[in-house]
Amino acid sequence: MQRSGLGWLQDTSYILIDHGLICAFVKRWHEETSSFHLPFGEMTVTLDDVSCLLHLPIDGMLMSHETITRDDAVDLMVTHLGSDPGDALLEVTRTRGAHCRFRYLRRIFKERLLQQLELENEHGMTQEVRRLWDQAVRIYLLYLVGITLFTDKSQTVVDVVYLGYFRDLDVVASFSWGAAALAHLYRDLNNAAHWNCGQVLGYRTLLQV
Amino acid sequence: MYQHFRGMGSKDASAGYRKDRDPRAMLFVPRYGLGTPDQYKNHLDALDLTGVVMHPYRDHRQACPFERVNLYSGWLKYGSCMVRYLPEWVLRQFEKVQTILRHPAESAPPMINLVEITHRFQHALDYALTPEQLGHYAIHGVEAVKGYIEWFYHHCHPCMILPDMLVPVPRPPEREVIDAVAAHEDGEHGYL
Repeated sequence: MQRSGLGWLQDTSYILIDHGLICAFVKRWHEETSSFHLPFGEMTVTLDDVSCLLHLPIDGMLMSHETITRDDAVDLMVTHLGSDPGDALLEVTRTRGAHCRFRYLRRIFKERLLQQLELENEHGMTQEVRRLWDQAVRIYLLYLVGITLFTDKSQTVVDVVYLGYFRDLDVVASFSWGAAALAHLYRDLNNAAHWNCGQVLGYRTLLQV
Repeated sequence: MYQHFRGMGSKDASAGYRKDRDPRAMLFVPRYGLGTPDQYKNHLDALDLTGVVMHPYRDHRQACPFERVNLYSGWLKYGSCMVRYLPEWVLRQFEKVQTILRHPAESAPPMINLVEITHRFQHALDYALTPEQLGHYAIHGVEAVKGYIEWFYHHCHPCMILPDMLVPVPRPPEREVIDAVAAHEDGEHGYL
């Protein structure tokens, strides 16, 4: 987990989100400069804040992905999570998009761990065991970014597109997760400021600390 | 927010926080602070620099060194959505004297595509603020150049003020420095 650079996310999320505080700051948000206007000048959440608060990697490649189709999502899940094609299809159909539910991820995470344990007890550390282990790690990472950095409106599903970044587990930390998290937060603040403080969806912990 | 603003929700240090390695977010135990959005709004309206910590991470650098990429100025993107990241607007958060700024379109030109953004961030240091742009070190951490606050109220702030709202009168910049020094001497800066 620490190798992926995302390990700290397990410990840095707040359960309690102070709606009043978030709302007041949204009203001070200014899209043109991505900053809060306060009586003494401007302030904002910087990359430095992200890195000190969450210890996410800042330096690195900017994440770039576009929306993927449901078929792509099924392919990704089958190849990298070891999903049953039928199950994967059910997920994208149920969520009406390239998403899968947290509930499903929890289920297959347990499955992979059990399979891996059984196989390891039987044959020791084989290539197959390692493959199952990698799949379990990917499931966990997808779940983790889904419930923290990249939360969406429903709060029950995650976009499968992030799975693309977990293909090779050795290079996960070479992406600038911090910049992505910050861009996601800015975008949500822009939207929320437009819609008169409806809802800030992104990673609200980041704003609150 | 807890890092930068005192008196907003929790300041409690979490028991067992390991200063030399844990991320700063783990330092606080959140709880409901001031209550409704209106209470927060009033608090923000009345806020001056004594209630703000511009750069709270000085004693956290061992765990998390400052990276120059933080000074990258330009566009960031998330999926197909572009957002501006402009550290020059908040120089005080980088321990520099706040200056009066160029238009945001200069550092983040509107005609840019997503591929170009990726490319620029890859060479982020080429697009980072130069020492000249960063300007002078802010001894007290809250200084701004003469005329900044008047400029801010005239050029930026009016966009945020509705016609029927009272326009607040800016405090003179020297006042901010004097107050910040006094607050510092009172020892209010420490969290732990």
